[in-house]
Amino acid sequence: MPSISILKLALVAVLGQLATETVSAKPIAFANGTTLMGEYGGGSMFEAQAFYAPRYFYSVGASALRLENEQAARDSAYLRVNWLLKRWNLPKAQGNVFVYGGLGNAREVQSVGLATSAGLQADFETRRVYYSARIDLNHAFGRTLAIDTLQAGWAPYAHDFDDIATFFVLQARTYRGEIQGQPLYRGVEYAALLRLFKGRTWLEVGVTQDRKPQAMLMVNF
Amino acid sequence: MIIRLTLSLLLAFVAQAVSATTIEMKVNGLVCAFCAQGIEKTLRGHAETENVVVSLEQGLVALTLKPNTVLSDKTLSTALTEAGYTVTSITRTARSIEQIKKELSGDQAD
Repeated sequence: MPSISILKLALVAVLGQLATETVSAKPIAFANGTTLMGEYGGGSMFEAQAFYAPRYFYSVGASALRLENEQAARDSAYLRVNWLLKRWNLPKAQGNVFVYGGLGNAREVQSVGLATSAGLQADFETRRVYYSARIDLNHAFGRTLAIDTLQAGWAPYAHDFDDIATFFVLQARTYRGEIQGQPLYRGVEYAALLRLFKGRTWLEVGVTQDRKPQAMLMVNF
Repeated sequence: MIIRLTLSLLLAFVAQAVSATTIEMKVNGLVCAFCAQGIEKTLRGHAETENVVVSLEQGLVALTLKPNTVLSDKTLSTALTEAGYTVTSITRTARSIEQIKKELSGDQAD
């Protein structure tokens, strides 16, 4: 089994730049599109991903994830598939359900082993509101770490194709599971975020109630 | 006589279809400009495409073709469906892209 450092190096070499899986946007951009994303979350998580979508309903790629508490961290690297399970295209709205899963490696302190990931995301949006619910699971060393995220966003104006889109987003997140006997986070982490996107670039920045920054950058090609 | 008339009407219809200025498609699911970038990428991937306009407000994708080229309704509908959207109608109009852009700007100014 290759070591975690070799996998990370391969990931960086292949990706070439920061890649991210956003917890707030869709894990599939558009057909024949490449997505690079990076997210930093409140001191508990950092994730970088790159995906390519051969069709609009699935994408494949790689992901590097760090989950940490005050004592220790779990670093994981995956090859991953995202799948659009269902989409509803309405005249003024869209709803989606995505599932995803990955296989890779994880390291926790001195232990290295097989890691798997799985998740589910449902979202509904118009040009003025955005709602999403997401579960991310990371399993290694016989233990599962989970991140549950809810988001609700509101736009002060309805953006059009060439505009800068603006959303104010409230997020609630829980972290389940422990690393080295300590939880990732106790309670519910709330964050207030500003989401901006224009063309093929998406930026989200904000702060949690613990005054910790949260940011996400995503670019499509 | 009737056959000639029918053929003439048919030819006139085809001629108009080929020479129509703009193809306008009404599309469902157009709510996110970030995701809708794929529509422009898909349509510009066709060699026949000259210009593309996407309006989330109108749920509209409009395009013009290069001279003496043709794209069928089926091809266009398939392209947008495979981009992840739902096409509800396709019409070929005499409106130019510039006219459409002007009307869309007027809508946004309201």
